[in-house]
Amino acid sequence: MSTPRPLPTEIFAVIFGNLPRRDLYQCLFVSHLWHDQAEAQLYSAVTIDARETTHFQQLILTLKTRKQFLRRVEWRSHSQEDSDFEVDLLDIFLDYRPVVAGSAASVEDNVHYLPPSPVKTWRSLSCFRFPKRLWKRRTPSTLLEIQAAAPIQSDMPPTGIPGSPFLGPDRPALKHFTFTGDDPRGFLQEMVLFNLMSTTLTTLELHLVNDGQRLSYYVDLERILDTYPHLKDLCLDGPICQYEPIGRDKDSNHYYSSFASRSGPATLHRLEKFTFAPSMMSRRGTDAFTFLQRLGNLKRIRVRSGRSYSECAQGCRTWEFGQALKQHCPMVESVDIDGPAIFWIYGLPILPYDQTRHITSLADQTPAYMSLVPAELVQRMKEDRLRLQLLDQEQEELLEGKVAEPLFPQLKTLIFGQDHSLSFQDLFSLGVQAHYLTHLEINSLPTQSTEPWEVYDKDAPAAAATATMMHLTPTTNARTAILLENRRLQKRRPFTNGELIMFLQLCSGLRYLSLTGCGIPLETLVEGLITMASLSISGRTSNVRPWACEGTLETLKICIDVLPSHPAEFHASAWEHLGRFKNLRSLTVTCSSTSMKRMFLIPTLKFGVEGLFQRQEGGGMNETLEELQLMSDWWEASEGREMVLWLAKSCPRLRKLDLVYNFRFCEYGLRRMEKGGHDAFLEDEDVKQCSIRQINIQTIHN
Amino acid sequence: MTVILVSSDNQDFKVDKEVAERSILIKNMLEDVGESDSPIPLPNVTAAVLTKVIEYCEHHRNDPVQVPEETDDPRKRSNDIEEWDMKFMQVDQEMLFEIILAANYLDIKPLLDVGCKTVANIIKGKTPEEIRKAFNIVNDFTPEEEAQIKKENEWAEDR
Repeated sequence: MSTPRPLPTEIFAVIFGNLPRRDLYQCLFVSHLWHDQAEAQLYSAVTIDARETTHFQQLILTLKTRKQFLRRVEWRSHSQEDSDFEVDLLDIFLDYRPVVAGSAASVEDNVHYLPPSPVKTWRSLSCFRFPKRLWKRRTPSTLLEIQAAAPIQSDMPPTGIPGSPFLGPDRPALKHFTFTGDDPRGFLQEMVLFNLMSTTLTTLELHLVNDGQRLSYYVDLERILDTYPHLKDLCLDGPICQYEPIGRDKDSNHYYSSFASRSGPATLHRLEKFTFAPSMMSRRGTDAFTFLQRLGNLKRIRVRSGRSYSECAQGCRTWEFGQALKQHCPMVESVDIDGPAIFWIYGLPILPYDQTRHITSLADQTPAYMSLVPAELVQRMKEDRLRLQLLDQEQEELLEGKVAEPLFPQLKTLIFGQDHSLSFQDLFSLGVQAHYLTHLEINSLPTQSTEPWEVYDKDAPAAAATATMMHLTPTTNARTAILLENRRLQKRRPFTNGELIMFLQLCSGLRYLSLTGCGIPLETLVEGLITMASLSISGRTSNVRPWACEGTLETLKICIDVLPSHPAEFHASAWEHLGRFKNLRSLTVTCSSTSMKRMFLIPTLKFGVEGLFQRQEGGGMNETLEELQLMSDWWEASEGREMVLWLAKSCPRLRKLDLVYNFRFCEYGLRRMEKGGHDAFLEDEDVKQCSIRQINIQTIHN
Repeated sequence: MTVILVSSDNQDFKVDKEVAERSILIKNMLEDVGESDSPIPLPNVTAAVLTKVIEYCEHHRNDPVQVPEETDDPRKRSNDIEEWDMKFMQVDQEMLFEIILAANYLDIKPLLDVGCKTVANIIKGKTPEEIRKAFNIVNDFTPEEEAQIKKENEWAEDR
């Protein structure tokens, strides 16, 4: 190179880190120097997939002599194709030399207790054509022998991995290991997992796919945590995962390994991110969640791969899990739940019977007007009234914020995916108490299943009781008793759209809000909609109560359902409300995927979309907006150009515009063929030259 | 508050402290030295290169400091370079590498990243011969060695 000085290795690493595989391959041939640097980069991140990789066999062969470059491995296992390469794959991943203390200041820090030599295991696995010599090479692994071995002298070469002990030229230094597959013979855990290079691994992901043949896959969580002390990100998920070691003593209550018993601040594990399936919360035994004692550094939790609520609800110990998390993991700041899982954000303690007076007294009341009601309707009316009063009382209690106890006081990020069971109580309490919440995504309405709403803290002493203990008058009938008991048990229920709006009026400090999947009807958003219509108000007074996050929100994704019969003023009202978010950088206004008709907010000038940018006091989102996504079905062919140019003029920082056409609703497909079709405006010179650099058209087909 | 930086060819550069502290090396030096007004010598950086580096730091003085994520998959990094940065990097190759080396020495990560991305963009899409031509590199492989490399790394050849 025409450089006066040679480039250091780490700069090569940064340059090559920006190159895709194809270009790295070309770099191999440039010169010896480039070859060595490119090779290190090429083999640092490898995907092993017998089905997708061409020349798979050759890759495996080459990897055997390139183990030292591996930092990130993603292994997508297909049991049939992999079986031919089993021995080779194991040769690549496994490391047989003893773990020796490195250069760390404290010997204790680097010496750790390896799991006992799996002599028993290899005999039982002798069904593999697996040469015994591989096992003989493994030296005995007791603590004493490790300490006796002479520590390697540490010259720290520039390996580029900060803080890692000197490992030697052939030593694998794997940091990220991801496995996706079904592992039908169950050899993954015993052989591969517990023999990977354990001191450097920081990410371990096991996604166990259900092959339809096994009912459950046993994962020994404690042992994995023990084996990998430097782990920061652990993912053990799959629909059939059971978090118990195989061969546990069925009668004993203490069959989880001793990981948790060595607790105390000095032995906190480094784990920060943990992903698991809902069956984790159904672990049995008194020490089911004691492993959390050592996970005080935990910051992010994700729950995945639940199969159904009926499964989740079986033996689910949500309350205990939540309490254990609250007690031992105070730094959790992110919770992400996708799919069926019964997970609570706030604890609602069950009221003991002697504290239910304020509830039962509601049932005792008989207001004077009841005497005017025909006798056969009185009971029904009383029940309805009681139900509403209980709701009000509950809401007031939650607004005070003293009853609901936060299980995650530091919560900043909360994500709910499909089929979730976020309750009204949790949502409301978030609005009232979650002071640090900045990122919220609710990607669907709460589930229709009944199981999650039947779960309560069954083990609390206050739960067990008989109806006679409650101060019920003899006239209380069965339905009323159920209402009162549900209130006492603080049973959760799904939230409604109206309650979602109430939450938004309460929750301040949000920066990212995504509510796609929860279509908000316009009537819920704009109060007094009917009065507006009946009085034919022509001025655009906004009847929408402000949302608490208007000053802080930077990203908003929302669906507002508007009936086609609503007049333009109603759309304008909604646009004006959206215009209140003065610091918005990204806005997406879309339709919910379940809407059957063209029920969304229309973004044209006729329907008041300029309300987005008109601020009397100035300083609206037109100054900050960078990305915009709109449903453009309603744009006539002629309107497209006008709209785009108007957007470009109003928002000088707008760089990205996504226009979504819902295929079902418009003849976009047909029109596109004709000249002057819907997207003809994209070819217009002015549109091409305008300040919006990226204009994308997306079609959706639901 | 201003600081004085001295290039390897003894030219003085007066810059605001805030701008100078985009370089972690200088930031640490200033913290160690404390209140002293003495100029900071930079023996590894010539005046021409230092001018460019200061220009970059001035333009980016208000950028938020990035926290490096260890779990970032390098392949997923975005390859977009800002318009201003792109124009800034339109220099001859020698200067480009000098800027990269200076950014490395002075520990200015964003400048290092932009420089390396620029070099990566030069490499992209070229055959080995074209790459050698672009960077004035001599081919030190024998045909047998080339064949061996091709054989061993066949899986990476994206067709």
